[in-house]
Amino acid sequence: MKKNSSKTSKKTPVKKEKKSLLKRVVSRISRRSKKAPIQEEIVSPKPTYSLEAEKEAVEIEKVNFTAVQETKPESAYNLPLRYGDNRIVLLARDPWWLHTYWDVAEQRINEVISSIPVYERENLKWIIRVYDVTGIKNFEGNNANAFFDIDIRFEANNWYVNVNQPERDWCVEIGLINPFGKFFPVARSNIIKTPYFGISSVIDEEWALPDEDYYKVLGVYDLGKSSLERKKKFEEIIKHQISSPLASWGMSSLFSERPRVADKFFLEVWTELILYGRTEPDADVTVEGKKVHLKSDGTFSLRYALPVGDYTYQVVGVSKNKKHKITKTPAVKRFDK
Amino acid sequence: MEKGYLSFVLHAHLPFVRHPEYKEFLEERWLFEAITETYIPLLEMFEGLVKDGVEFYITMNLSPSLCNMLADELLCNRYIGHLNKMVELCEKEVERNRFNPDFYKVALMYYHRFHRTRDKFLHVYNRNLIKEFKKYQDKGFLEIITCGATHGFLPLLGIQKEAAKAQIRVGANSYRKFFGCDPKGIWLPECAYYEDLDKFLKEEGIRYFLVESHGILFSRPRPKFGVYSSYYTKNRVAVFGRDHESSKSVWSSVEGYPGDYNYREYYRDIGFDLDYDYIRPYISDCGTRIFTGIKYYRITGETPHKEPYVPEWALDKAVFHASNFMFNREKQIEYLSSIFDRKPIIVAPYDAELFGHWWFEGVQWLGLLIRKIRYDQKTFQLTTPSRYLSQYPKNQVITPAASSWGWKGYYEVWLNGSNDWIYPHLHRAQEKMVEAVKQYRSAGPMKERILNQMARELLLAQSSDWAFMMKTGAFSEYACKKTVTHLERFYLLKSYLDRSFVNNEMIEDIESKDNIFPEINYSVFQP
Repeated sequence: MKKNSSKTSKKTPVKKEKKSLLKRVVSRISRRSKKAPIQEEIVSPKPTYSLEAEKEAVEIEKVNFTAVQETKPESAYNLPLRYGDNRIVLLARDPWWLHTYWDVAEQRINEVISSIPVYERENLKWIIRVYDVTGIKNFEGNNANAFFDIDIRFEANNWYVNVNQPERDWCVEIGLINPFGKFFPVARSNIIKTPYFGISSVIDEEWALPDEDYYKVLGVYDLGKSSLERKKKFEEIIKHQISSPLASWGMSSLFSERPRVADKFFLEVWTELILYGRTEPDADVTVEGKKVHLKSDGTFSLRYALPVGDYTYQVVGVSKNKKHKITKTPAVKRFDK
Repeated sequence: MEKGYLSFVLHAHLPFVRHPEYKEFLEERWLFEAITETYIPLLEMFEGLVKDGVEFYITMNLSPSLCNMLADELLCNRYIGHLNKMVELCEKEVERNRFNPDFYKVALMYYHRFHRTRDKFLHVYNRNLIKEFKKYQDKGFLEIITCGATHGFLPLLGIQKEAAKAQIRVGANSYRKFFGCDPKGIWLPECAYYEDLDKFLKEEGIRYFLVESHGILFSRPRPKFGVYSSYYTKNRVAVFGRDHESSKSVWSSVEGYPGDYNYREYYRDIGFDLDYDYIRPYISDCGTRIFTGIKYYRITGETPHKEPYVPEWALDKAVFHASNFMFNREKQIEYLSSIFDRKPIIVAPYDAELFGHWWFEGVQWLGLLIRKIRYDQKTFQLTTPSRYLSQYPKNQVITPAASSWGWKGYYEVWLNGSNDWIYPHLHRAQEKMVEAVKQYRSAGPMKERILNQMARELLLAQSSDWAFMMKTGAFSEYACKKTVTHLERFYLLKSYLDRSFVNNEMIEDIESKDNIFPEINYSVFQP
């Protein structure tokens, strides 16, 4: 099985690296006389944090699979960053990947470390043990079908795990392992199933089509030699369909971004014409036959788009008693040199 | 006699965005734009079809959070304010473009559109769009289905089954309230399905749901008809799968119809193009340029240089694309029906806002297509999932595969480095909600009132839209803020419960802001 996560996660170290939680706890416990109550020295996790600072550390450490823009809450919110409720939770991301997050209080870590014989406490490191528990009714930690370990950074709080096996039940434990390979679990997760991928080999006799017809219905016209080949072809088609950027799924919800022409340098220049004037406040004014609204002081101001071309603006003013009429016709030629 | 069926399913949804604490709020414009560009044009299309006696069958989801916004008085008033401003801008634009032959007709088009929209909204629909949609359901043309209460992404929330159950139950209850009957079908948020979800659908009497293609194609046992038929889950809820081919031609902005060079260019908007002083009153309150919805250019090509939009050319293209879509479905159905011993159904689900908003001519296209299907061919007819089920009540029983319609087909869009931080919080809050319900059930009207508001806050924090925005980067800051704010309010309320302390003013303030689901009962979170 793969242990790729630990390999890919070697990234730039966090700048101001604090002494890790594990080191702090272990050194504390070692320093302490056995009689002393453990409780006293434990720094209980603060109830509230700024998400931002902690999140940053997480992001750096986390395996970066997809080129996504990392976004975090901007300001300090009043949500607890840690709940300290000693748990690890497992989610499926797709048929091949799991996601897990954990939240373990120092007290629990102390408990586990205290239970380890002193001579076995050296060089403990954090791992996640990933168990394949498919078909197992009561998983108790030692009856999995198989397991593998991943080195993690405890402070990362979460990890993406490549199991590469659809349709299996998984469970993870976070814990400490010593150089002798002895594992001391701290918390165990829920069980989750990776989604199925591929066309089922189970055929319902009552509801069956001849194989050739069936694959045509699925859109596989090049039938190949064997049904295995067809199956493979079909699964390739589906893989392509779901991951093709051309499919642009979700483009139409209002707040999604639709692809746009890549930024090329551009320069747009437009011109407008302002036509303004004044007359008696109670006069009638028209521009090219259309009545113009006068302000109470008899002034008017009009704004017209001015594309390339010849334009005349016949302005006619008529006094209220209709006895006077004045026509003025400014003309403009707009051209590009 | 027809050889098969086509079923359009439109998914109309917006997350609940309502900010009475501000005079104006940019994200509330999503609703305004969707009403003007999509919902009212769809209603006008239905109206035209009925008037002309064209028989049609369409399925549409009006999501519970959308319905709650459409029914909200404050948002309706703000929408009218928005329309007034737009009409004013359109009037100015008609005047400004009087001597500009390229744009004058288009400016007039917007002027008439906004005028008509305002007129209809106020005087014909009497501000009640839900009732208007319901009218077409009552006439038998439109089948309205429901959705998860706040569009929560169920596979990732469902590690506590109460959370998934509550999304579905509140969604179904909201539907009953607005439409006066049980929902026949449900649009699972993001078409996301995981094993055993059908149980909760069954409990609400929901008869069918939709999944992405591979949700059916990867089901066990092998689904005999691919995605071209209904099936039952083991709990006897019917399931339909999306047809990839018909989806792609409409969805894809590259290969699909919406990318045609004669169609309107979305990204060239006068909000960005015009002189700042002139456009200032019509952009965001703080002075940032935004999309106004008035756009004068066609897509033109893959170049920053754009040519003026010519509505007639766009209409010609819409006619052409409607014919093309119909022809392809005819071929598809002829072929499928030659293999099957039943009439195939092609299910074509889309986000409703694609039509009109992103693809400006989309509603026109759909209207033309519906008429063509009725009069220009005999191979297939329109139908709805429940009509198909009454024709084929006996179906193969399958276990659909976990899947979603998001990029890569599973859950990654809603679970990745940009948004995975929300799940520890959401899961905890879900747990706390279930505990609080157990602990304070029937603990008096004040505590129950607090529990109800906690349920609203939790549901609001669960919207898949927030995770989606964090992923795409558009509006991600707002999305983070929404998630956190609702959870904060949730915990504040919970602290009142735990301390038996009540700050009346605070509760009223929260209730007045997040007034979604006034009918909610916290018992939906009962284990």
